[in-house]
Amino acid sequence: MNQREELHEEFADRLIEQGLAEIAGNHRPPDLTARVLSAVHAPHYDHRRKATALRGLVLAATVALMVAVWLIDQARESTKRVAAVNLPRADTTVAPPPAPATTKEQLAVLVDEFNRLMNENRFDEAEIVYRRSAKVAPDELVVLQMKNTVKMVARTRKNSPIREPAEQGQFAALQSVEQSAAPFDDREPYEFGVLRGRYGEVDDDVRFLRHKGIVDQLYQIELSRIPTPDEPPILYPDRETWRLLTGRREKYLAALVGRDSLDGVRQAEQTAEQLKLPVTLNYKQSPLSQVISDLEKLSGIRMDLDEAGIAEVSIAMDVPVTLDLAQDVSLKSALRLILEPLHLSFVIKGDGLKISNARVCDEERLVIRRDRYSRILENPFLAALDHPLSTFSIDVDTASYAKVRRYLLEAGEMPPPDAVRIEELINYFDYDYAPPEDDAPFAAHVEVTACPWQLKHRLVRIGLKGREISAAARPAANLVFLLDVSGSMEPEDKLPRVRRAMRMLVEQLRENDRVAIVVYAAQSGVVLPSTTGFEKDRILAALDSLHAGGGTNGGDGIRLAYDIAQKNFQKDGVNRVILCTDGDFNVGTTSNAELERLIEERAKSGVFLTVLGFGMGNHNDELMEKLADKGNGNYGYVDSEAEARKLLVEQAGGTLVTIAKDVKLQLEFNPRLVGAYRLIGYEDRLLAAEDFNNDQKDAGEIGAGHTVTALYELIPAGQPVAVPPVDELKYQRPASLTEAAGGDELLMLKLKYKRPDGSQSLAPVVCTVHDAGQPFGAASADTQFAAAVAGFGLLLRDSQYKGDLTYDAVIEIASQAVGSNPHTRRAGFADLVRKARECATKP
Amino acid sequence: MHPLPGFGHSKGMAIASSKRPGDLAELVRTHQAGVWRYLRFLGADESLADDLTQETFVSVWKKPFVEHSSAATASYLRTVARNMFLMSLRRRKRQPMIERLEVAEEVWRRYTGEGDNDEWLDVLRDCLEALNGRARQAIDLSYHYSLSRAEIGRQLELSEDGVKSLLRRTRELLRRCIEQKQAS
Repeated sequence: MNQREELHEEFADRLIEQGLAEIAGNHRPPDLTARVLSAVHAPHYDHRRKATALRGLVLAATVALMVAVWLIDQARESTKRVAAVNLPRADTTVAPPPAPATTKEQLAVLVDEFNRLMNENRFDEAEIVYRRSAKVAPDELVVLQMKNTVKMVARTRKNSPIREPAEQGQFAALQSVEQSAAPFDDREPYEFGVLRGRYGEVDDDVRFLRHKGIVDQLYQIELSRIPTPDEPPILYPDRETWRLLTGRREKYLAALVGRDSLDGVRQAEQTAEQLKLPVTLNYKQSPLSQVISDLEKLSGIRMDLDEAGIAEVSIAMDVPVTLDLAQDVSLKSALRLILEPLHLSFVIKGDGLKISNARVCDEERLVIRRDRYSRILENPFLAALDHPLSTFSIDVDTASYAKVRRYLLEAGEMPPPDAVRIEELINYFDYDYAPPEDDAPFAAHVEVTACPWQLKHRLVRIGLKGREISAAARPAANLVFLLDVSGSMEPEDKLPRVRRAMRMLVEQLRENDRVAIVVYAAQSGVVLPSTTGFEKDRILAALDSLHAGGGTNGGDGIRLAYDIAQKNFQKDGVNRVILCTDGDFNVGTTSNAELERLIEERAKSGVFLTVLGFGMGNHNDELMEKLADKGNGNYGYVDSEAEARKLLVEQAGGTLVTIAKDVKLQLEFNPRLVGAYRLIGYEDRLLAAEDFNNDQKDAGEIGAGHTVTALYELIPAGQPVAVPPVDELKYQRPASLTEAAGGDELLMLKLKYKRPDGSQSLAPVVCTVHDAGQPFGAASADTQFAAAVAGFGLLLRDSQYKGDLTYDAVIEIASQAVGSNPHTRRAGFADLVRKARECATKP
Repeated sequence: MHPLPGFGHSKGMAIASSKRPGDLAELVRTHQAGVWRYLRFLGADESLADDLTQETFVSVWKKPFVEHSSAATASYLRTVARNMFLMSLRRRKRQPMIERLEVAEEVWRRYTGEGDNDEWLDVLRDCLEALNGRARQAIDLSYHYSLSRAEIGRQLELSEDGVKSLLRRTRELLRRCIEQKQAS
């Protein structure tokens, strides 16, 4: 085929393609009739635009000449500039146009000229022509039209240099967003320092593209941010207007926050301003108190040294300070330079400064608390006929009580309702339940009495008591301390307290026990490999060497701790990871779900978990409770040395030695006697009825000597029930009562559990319960006290089920129960309730 | 800035045209589709075809012009349009390819006949109706539903190249069909 034939083929194919587009694609030629007609009739049609260059030049010259003539005639100031620009172009050899006779003809020439200039984008000249036209016939419609055109053109010209680059920039930014979204190969996630063979190069290319895209994007965003031109210029109002505005603003602010606090804010602002004062300091081994009082005199700012706070970090008031500044620094920087090496800080308080340790200052600055709690939805009353079974897992955690105590006593404020888990309040206290007499790991005790906040209701108390194991009989322990040493752990109530708590635990260890210490921050590492109780000194020295700093990557640390625990696994012994943290995991593999999965997986190896929470401010209560739950563990909150002693010394057996795991309770209520029931607390421990017999379903653990208490509030049959009735079923008859229901059994309790190393539940323990109609006053001290604590929880949560309960009633019940009980811990409860009463009545 | 259309109409400043607009309208209505198609065929994109069609009619109308026959007019319009197209190529500094355009004109005459009517399109439509099976499907998907080759390939279980050659072969088939019908 020669070239021409090829071309022939090409065009023939194109013709068919075009025909198909028209027939099949309905791509019809447009109707251009109107367009052609208007083009033919419009006087300024394109053919003029395409006039020869010569003609354009002549015309330009003509216009310029006309303008010049007109300029002399009119001597108009505003047009001088344009004319001056155009004058050089004027060709003097061209004769001026003949003067038109009538206004109309004159106007026609001008309009034609105007159109032509507009077509040639010579807007300035067109504007002059318009001005001339306005002279000739100011009221003509066409002149008004010219005026509008000129205006519009001017506006468009002013805007376009701004709009165009902005649009371009935006477009380019979008384009680079597109580029930066280059996909990442997730099948082989990138690991630092790991060479990838041939895939590594591909990854690098993709990464390079992404990075480049992002940089381009930033650059384009920068470009597209063309500032608004200062035209018309912003006019700032005069001083007087400003003063009025400020006055009005302050008036509203004062109404909003109250006059006093406004003064405080203003003082603080002033103080902050004064801190910018430049100072030159030169001290050699001068006492701190002297330096501060010098600065006080120099600046006129009151500086309070918080002696208690400073003593807390073992700094004396006359600690020598050396500071040699070559040049002026601000007072603020000078203070930092002096205080930071001493682990001190300062905070502005009104018209002065408070100087104390870093923690105190942080707390002063802390306005918004970041503690996190999961939502608690209280269990409702359930009709015994419709829901005969109530199933739940036990819970030996006690963290909530310590948290509540810290809110009330230290912060002096009511705890958030979701921080109050009633079962943890109740289980915080010991109860004198009899331990099991036989081999069983625990004994169950049930008591029925009147409900103190709803006297017509009945209260069922179920008490479990784990078998006691004497310290001597405790099996050998293999412990791994997993300690959070991230920067957030620095305050006094965190890492230093962790150190002291772990010390208490280590003191009790025997020679055949083992301890390893793993720390985590941004990275995790083994501080102490598994070491026996022979070398307590080494363990304690390792604890003392810890210091805080860096981010928090909990995931790796957890993995490492479990690895060590498994490596040193003690058969028939205590194998446990003890995690101490403020619960703030913020780096690495720490989607919460991932952490939970990790721990759930590792718990199967037989290693148990204890989670100890420390500190306040960014405490993640929700996550820590979940982790303990998933990791076959328990969760305590250490708000004081005393609490550490309780958890790790007095109840060390319970905390360390698990005697039964996956302990589940199921109650069946007799609908002949029970109208409705409500489980108090245990909201996040509820199980489905069928989970009771499902060994796969995880539940709570019970430690040696632990007591677990659960309360049910019952509405006896025949009393009004606040439960809306369910419609009668169409296809089923309601189950009729059995013979057993005819008796006076109130309910049946079933208990299931596994041995700590078992994977199958043992046969359930079953007992039946009768209601002897006992009044509340005749109930055991344990039951009364548990009811008081539960009532306290209802009040703190401001529960809809609190009935006519008051703080005073709680104090009264509790004080009676304390009287007959040797445990001193209960005495502190009444104080806490009093404090709550005080906080609750505060505005 | 664009020119301001319609501006010169007001107040008798327009240069009154001595031509008869009624006739022009008829001329445009009769021939515009052919001219537009021809321009597209030569390689003009749609908006250029719009512009050049307009310029073609305007330029024809500005010169003394007698209509002998519809076919002659169509041929004349085509010549003007071709020149317009050549000029537009020159204006854009593209190498005008006279030889290409000659071949194009040859092909155009060969398949559309001398007249400026839609007859060849009707023929093509008949040929298309006769088509069936995958070839017809491919044409519909491509020209009616404007699907990409990849999408068509997915529906017809063909590779992209397969779709491309199927479409090309089908177009060839249609061309033979037109040739046959015109011969008979």
